[in-house]
Amino acid sequence: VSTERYDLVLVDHELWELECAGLAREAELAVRRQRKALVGERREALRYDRIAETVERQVRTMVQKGFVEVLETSVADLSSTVRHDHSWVKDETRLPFSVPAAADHIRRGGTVVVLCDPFAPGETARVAGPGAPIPPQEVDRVTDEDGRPLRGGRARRALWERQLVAARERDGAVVVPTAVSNTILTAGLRRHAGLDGRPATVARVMYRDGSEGPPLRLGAVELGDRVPEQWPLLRFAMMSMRHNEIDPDVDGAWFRNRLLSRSTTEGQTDELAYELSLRRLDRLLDGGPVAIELHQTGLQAAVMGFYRAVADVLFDRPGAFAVRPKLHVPGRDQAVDATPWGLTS
Amino acid sequence: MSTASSGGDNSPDAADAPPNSVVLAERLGLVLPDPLATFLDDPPAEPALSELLYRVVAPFTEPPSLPWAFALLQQAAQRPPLELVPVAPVDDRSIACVVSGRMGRSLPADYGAVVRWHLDDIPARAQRALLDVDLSSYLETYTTEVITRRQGLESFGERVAEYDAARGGKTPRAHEPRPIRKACQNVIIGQGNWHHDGAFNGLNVTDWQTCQVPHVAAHEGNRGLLASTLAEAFRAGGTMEVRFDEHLEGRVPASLRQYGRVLGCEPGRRDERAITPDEARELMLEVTPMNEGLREVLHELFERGSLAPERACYLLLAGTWKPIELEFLLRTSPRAISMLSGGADPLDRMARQAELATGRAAVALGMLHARLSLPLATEDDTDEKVAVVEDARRELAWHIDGRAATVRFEAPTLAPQGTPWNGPRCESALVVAPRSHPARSDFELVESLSGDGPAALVIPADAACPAELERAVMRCPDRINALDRVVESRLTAARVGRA
Repeated sequence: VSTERYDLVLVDHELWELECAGLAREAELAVRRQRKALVGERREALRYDRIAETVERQVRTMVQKGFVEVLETSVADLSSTVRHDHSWVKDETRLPFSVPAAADHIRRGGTVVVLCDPFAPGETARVAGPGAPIPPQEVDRVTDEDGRPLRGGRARRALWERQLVAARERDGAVVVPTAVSNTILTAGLRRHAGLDGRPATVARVMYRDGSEGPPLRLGAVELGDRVPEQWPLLRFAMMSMRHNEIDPDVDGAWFRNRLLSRSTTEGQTDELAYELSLRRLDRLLDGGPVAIELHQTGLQAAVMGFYRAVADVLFDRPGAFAVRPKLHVPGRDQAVDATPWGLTS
Repeated sequence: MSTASSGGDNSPDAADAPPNSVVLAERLGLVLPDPLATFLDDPPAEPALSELLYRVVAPFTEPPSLPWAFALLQQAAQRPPLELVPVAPVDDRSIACVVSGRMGRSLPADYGAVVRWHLDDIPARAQRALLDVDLSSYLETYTTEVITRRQGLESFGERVAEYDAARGGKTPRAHEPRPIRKACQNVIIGQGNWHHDGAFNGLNVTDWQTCQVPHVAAHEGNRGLLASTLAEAFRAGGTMEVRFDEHLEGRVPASLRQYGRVLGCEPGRRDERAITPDEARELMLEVTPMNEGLREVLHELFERGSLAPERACYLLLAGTWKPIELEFLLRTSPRAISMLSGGADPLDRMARQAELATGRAAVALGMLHARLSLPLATEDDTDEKVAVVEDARRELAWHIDGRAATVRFEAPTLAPQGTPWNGPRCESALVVAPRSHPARSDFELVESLSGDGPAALVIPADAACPAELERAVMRCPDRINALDRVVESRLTAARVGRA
């Protein structure tokens, strides 16, 4: 491979203020907005991309015209301890390269702009270090007592159950909710979320696209099936504008479809669903205990995010609310009741 | 020669006549493989094949008589070698032949194999393509296909009707049945129906059927359908196991096993009803189109554990990155693996700057490759009244120098109508260095390369370039922002492409 070369361009204060400072401020605002944006939202990040590119092009023009001094460095000198956010640096402690002349320039009020040339001639570190080939996955198979492979729903249930059981054995075991049906996923989570006399564990949640959601707490919450009748009942569809036939039966939608259906990894969708659910639960519980009837139709990452939030809030505030899942299964007219996340009797 | 049907010679002398295989071998001076000799002396009794398999049967001037088949073979536009013995029609315009030996000569490397001989004038590379490794295996597949063909077509027709009724044209989700057809020039060459099955966390294939047609290379239907099957197995997020429990044949279909034998990795060895994840990986590497340069660099990355083969193959099959773009990324950038996983955080500007610059160069390179691959214009084109939509792109060879990040294109006639994007005049070779922000050292590089032939920098339409150096650049039609949008869409596709 060719090597990456970085040019440190020393831009004087006046020139910077005249040509780039306004753009840089806009870019910095975009970054601040991005940091406050929802998980997986990239609009402000892409705006930052465009503005930063414009700043760098202005500086390249300065270089071509000979208005600025350029110091060459190489990727080997790149600091691994400084976070490399903007390509312009006005604080010498944030310089990604330890070059005294650049630090002096900043101390004199100047700005250092780092420009990358990804194709400078030469040999850098290999694309990959030495390692072992990634092995193919093992087949997922569950059998009955006689060793015959299970099929259909029994197999799907057993596969999910096997992951959860393993996750209750030790911390850090991986569960993969991708492609587990709504019914099986919800039932499995409910079965293993409650106290069972063993220490609580924390599972890693991995998705098949390679992404990872927030960790999942299991066996930590005191759970029963009772939903007090005197509590106000709030009925929600899990997702807006997805199954409009549910609309007459609910008071609102828990998630906005637009937020959860963007092109993000499943792990990010899970994290977003989790954060939104924490916020909504927090606000709902301000008014006292409530019972939530949740009409679910699918989307594993959203289901995971929601019930992770339920478990976490119930862990902090035991008995503060209850959830009664209503599962909408294709081919059935009526929703199916699943085990409530309620109080012990 | 004795005949094998009731219409043949039943005289007492016939019982004493030497076997057909012996007569044929002597008359034509051939060394016949054992399965072929058995086939000639005792053809399969399957009634469904009685009108298809060539054998010694009267009348000798009509199909399925072997002499008639020999005569037909001799009429082919390209003269077949003498060692080919016809055994069955592949389709209307090609014949399956067993490769024999010639007496007094050493045996050919593909002795005993079944190959395809086209009767029409076709490109030499497609003639004598391997159909199966031996006659016994070929006949087993042939028989299964003939017997199950109609039932398979009917079954698939029902799946399509169910799909149309249930989905109303909407793209099915991974766990819903998805019937697909593959066609080339309006002729169906493969069809399949599958869905992701959570019961084993893999792909459940209920229909899988292919055929050979005269205008398509041997096994291309199998290759195309298998590529789609494996890509779907990856996209759906399972273990890459592909099961055929509900298939008409109750196991990995015969045509697919035959194609696997030709590739040297027959599926169904460990489990006759399934392609296991390791078999799937092996097959995916074979069916994904890529040049040798890319294959070499990918294998190096697989060996080092940097990249899973199925992910790289999926990115190519899904068209996320074209082969030339992917090879350029892998050979020139230490950030390639990050880019294939979706790229760096945009707020990490140092990494993002490098990735965008690399990605832009790769995209512009892909555009140039597509432009150079356009078919040569002919005089007939000027009289064309009706637009013909035909993939007539030319195959260009390329070589990527990873250290200099340059690409050398080669073809007998590279750009007869002039190099695109105002590039330097070239005959059979052109070296380009794709850059989004050319530096002084890049111009020096091109100048040094120009000594050995035409060379140029490929830059975006709005990239800055000193006027006196403009003659050394080829400006791609897209501006930097447009290239960035393409790069971002590909990074996104790499990040969320899998269910």
